[in-house]
Amino acid sequence: MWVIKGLRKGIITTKYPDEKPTKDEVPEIGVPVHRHGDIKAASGVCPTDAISEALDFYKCIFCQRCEDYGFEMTGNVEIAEVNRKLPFSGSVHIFLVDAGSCNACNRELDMLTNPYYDLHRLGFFFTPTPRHADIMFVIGKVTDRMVEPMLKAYEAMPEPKIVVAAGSCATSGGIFGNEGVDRYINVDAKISGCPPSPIGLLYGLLKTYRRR
Amino acid sequence: MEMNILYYIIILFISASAFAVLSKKITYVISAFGSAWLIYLAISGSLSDHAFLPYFLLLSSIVWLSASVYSIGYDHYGKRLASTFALTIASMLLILVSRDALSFLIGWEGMTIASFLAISARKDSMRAAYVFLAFGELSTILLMLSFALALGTTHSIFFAAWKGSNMWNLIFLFALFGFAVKMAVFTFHIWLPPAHSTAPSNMSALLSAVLTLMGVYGIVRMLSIQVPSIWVSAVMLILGGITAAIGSLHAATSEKVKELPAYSTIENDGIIFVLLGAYIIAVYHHNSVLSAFTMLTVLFYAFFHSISKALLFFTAGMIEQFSPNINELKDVKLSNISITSGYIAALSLAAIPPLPGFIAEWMALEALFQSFEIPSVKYKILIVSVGAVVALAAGIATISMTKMISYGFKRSTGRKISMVDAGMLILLSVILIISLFPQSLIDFVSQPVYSLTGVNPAVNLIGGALAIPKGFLILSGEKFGGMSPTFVFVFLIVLVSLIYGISKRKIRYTEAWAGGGEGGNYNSLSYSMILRYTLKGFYRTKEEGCRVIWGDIFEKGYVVTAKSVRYASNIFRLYLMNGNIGVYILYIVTAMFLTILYVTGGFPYVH
Repeated sequence: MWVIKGLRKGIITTKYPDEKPTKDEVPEIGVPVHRHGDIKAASGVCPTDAISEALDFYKCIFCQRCEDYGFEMTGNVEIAEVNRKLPFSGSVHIFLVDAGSCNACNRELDMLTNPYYDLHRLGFFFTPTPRHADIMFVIGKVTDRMVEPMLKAYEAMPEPKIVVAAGSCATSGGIFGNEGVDRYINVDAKISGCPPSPIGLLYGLLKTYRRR
Repeated sequence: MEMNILYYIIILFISASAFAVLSKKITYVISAFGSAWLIYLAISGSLSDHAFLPYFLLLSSIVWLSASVYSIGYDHYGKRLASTFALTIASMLLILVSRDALSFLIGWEGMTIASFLAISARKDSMRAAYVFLAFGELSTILLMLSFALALGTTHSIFFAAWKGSNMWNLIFLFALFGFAVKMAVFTFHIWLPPAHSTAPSNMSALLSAVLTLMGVYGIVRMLSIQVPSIWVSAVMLILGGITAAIGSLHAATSEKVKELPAYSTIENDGIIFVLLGAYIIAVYHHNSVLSAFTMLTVLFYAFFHSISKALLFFTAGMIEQFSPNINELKDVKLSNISITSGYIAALSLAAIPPLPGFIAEWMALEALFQSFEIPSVKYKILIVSVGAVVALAAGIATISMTKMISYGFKRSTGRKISMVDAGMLILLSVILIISLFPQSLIDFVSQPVYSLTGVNPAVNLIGGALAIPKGFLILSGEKFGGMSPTFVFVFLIVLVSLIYGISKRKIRYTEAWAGGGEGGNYNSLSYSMILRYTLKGFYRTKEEGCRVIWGDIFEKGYVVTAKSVRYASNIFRLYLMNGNIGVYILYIVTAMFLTILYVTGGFPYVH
């Protein structure tokens, strides 16, 4: 019966990245963007000191306290930067290292393999062993005891390999500190968000390809 | 005249064992010299009118020579080992040389007893040696039964006179089981692993390579007198197939350095047993090409097994000095020659090209799968099923041999070259020569195979096709299959050099990945744990506390049988013959009464 149900429902996979993300795919909160007012006045209210000259997206945890100080919450979640790309595209294997997160990033990553977002059609796969991996995907604030396993996993990966840090804890320490993963290892790509939405994760991952 | 030389060489070996009183090394040097002389005699062709003697003599004396040279550097067990070592060789030589039943039996018993004394040279090996002796005596008893029957029906103790005896099936069957016990075939296999693993390694090599070879020699000798009825081959096929499977499965899960090669010997002997059964079927159906090829396979397989297994035992003996358990091997020091020998021996036993094990395994499977030429349906099905089991056993042998390599030889570091390496070098060079030119061996044995089956392998089974020149291709029958080991060897060398030359050769060494925690090592217990777990019923795997226990159920079966026999005899002793005079008088009176009844016709059925 599920065959008939499925045929009736049709294809539910999102058309991203070929089309812009629809309203349902973007979280309601969105990313704060400065519209008016003095930005310095808002710097005291941010719990992670993300606001100085401009909003540091990699530190923002979306607490919305800066909304009263001239920030507007928009829907743009495609914020990521990539320093080094992989020299190939297609069949990219990702090894996940959760270095002490609150599991919100984990859940968002899980959503990537459901039929709606479907990571596999873009050529990304998760692997349980670093020996088969091309990308080491780090989430969470790196705790003391996770430093060694994370470095050992990096050591166990064959060339070419890159490190992707996702979420505000991994990229910049978030509310737990001042330093992210780049304290211990060279980070080649950063994806912002707390937690990064699936669209944001896809945007960042696609940027690590050679073609884009 | 040539036989007289061989008798003198037997006396030479016996005197070598007497010299052990003075010094062990003198014994080994004399026995090395004697073995070299035997090799010369076998190759020089002066013994060529004695059927299979030159071939088996060549094979045995190569192993004897390298074992003697190895022992010069290895032996630290005392004079008893040296003298019984030489005595064992002397008895084996007597077996090879004998042409009548009496000297054969003397040699057989001498070999068993001398080996028993040598195995028990180690302090903790008495039980294993005793089990070995018990089964050795069983094989002697079976042989004596067989030879007594032959003597009774043909009134002669000479082998040549037994042809045409009218009880040949029974004679052959008893002798077959006698040799099967020595070859450690199924239901008689439990003595081999403890005996080989607790014996000193030069003796283990001798036991595994040559003692079991004597079983093969005996069966071939009996087959060359007369071939029995075809139902005997069904027995051989089934028993041999089960043996091969059991040996291979236990070798893959063995955790002791010397027990793994011992089980591998059981597996290989099972395969030889199967091939001998297939030979009988081929002869019965008058297919002379197939029977010649099968006999050739038996001989080649025996050659490959003896050489490779002896070399493996030599290297295992070097490793065992560090720890007898594979799991606990750490900081093993082996010289480069020993490491290479270990690799080549283990790869040969795992049937990896271009080594002789690959050639022998190919020949064995070709011989078994040509059973479509046999007209009888049930034997066709039997051979094919057993052939599948043989292929399975050969596949599982890969697990045991890679285990031996990964945990034994791969992790060894350097050490200086010593006398033990000279012994290994002899076998290593023989293996490499045979991988490159197996045709030389086939030519060497073609005369006896021709006189046995009517097909000369050197003419019919070696040819040329396509680009391969004549004389380099081994054919497995008329228009069936062929392979050229020489060119496989050459092709592999060319291919490997090409790949190595083209590759970038950038190598980075890292630790094993174990989840990022401590001790990232895949130890040998977990290497075979999958096999132990999925075949729980076969191994009777149990987890007790933090340990895993598994074992050979047949060994437990023997222990249970022995205990119940002792229990029954205790009951007999305590309750029936209990020392009470009154009860004894009752027995006597009852017996007298029954006898009177029987004699006077009181029983209605006796007239």
